[in-house]
Amino acid sequence: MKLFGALLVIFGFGAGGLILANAYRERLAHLKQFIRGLNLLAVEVGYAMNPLETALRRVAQNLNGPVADFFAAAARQLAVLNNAGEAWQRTLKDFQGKLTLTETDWACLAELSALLGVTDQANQIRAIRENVARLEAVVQESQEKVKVNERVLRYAGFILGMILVLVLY
Amino acid sequence: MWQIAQPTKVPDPGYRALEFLAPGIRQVVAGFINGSRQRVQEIRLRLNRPLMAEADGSWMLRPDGGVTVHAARAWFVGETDLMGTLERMTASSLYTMEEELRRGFITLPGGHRAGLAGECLVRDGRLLRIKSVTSINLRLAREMPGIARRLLPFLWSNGRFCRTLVISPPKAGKTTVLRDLIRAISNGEIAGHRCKVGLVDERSEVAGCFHGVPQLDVGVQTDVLDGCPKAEGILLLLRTMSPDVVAVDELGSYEEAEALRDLLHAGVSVLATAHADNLEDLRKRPSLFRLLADGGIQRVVVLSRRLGPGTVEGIWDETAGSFLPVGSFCLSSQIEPGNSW
Repeated sequence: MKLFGALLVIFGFGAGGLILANAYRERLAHLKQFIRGLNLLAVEVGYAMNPLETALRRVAQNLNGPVADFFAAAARQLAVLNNAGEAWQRTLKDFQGKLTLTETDWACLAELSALLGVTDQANQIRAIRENVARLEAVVQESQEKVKVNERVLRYAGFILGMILVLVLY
Repeated sequence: MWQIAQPTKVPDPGYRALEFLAPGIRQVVAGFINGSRQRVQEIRLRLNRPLMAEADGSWMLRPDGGVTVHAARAWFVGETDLMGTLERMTASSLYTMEEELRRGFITLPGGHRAGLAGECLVRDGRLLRIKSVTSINLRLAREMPGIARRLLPFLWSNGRFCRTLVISPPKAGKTTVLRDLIRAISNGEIAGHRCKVGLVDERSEVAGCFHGVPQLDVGVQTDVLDGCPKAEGILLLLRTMSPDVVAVDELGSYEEAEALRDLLHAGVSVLATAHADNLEDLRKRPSLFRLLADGGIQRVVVLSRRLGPGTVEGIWDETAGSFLPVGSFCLSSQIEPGNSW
């Protein structure tokens, strides 16, 4: 019974560590998907000249996972609200629980809402590209952290579990 | 028990255009349309100035949709109202409207048109586009099918549609009459003479095209060149669409008149409008005078607002050199008595 309890503590903490490490990796993947999505949006706006609703829908078709759902949801919101900023903000709010992003990431994405759809082509592209550049900086900064933290968290859970078992015994 | 269906009143296009207005002012304009006996023609938004509507006169609108003569009591158009409206009109895609911003107007679904004014971006002395919009004039498209029916018999000769020019001062119904004449001759409403009509709609006012598709009824046999300069469009239609009649709105320049003169020898008839109060004024316009002198026009329909918009003051027969014995009459009164155009 004691042995079972000890194993439960070790694997419980180990799993917690793995989940946290996974969250780090997922955040990075989501940020990269957003960068890809926004680059595609810049192409849709700049070259294809598609209306924003179509552009968002086409971006969603070229992505996968929850970020694709995000762009599809933004297109749907825009069709209902007729206001790009509001649609973008509302989609960001709806997806807060569905994507593994930090407050800083959300704030960075939220900046687009002020300009989306309401300026000329050159300024639209500039705004999207600026947002992409900011996200890329976040990704670069995170990549270093992820490398260190992911490895630490992966083992730290198990080690912490083992220490706890030793202390309790 | 059998019941005869009651004819339903055609909804005012003002209601359909409400969807293009930002939520705040939509309530105000809806209130005005509900309370107004006259049909709304224009809704004007000017930044930091009173919201106005044109319906048999210009009115400043109060927040409850009533009208006022005191600017202080009117609804003042804020940036949210203006930008919200512009965003709805452009489907949140202003970047797709650069050409429209250069031309100064946006054509909307339903054939309505939004005129724009504001700060302009100029390069090398040429207007690039309106940089920041501070005024929007939403002009409501209004179709009046059948309005020109009374004119039709006078515009045919030997089984062919006469080369016709409709003249009037502004707001006397030229474009509405032109649209209905196009619809009628295209559908063959006179003695089954169905004509192929080529329409050059430079300002998207006649057919009200949205993405090239006519939103207003211009007949089953009408090909529309939307947003095309008239002089170029006339020749392009002649070469490519073999029309029986070429129609243009607001003829004015030498190039346009010359392009129409080319049609004289191509066996194609003409239906056009021009700004002029009367025949004397028309003959004083050098570009149009030459067209008349060369027999380029056979009938001139003179319109005014004397008995209401669409008052026919006379139909001039250029070949006979006299007015046809038709007297003057109001076209709009036969469609909806008492209604404003």
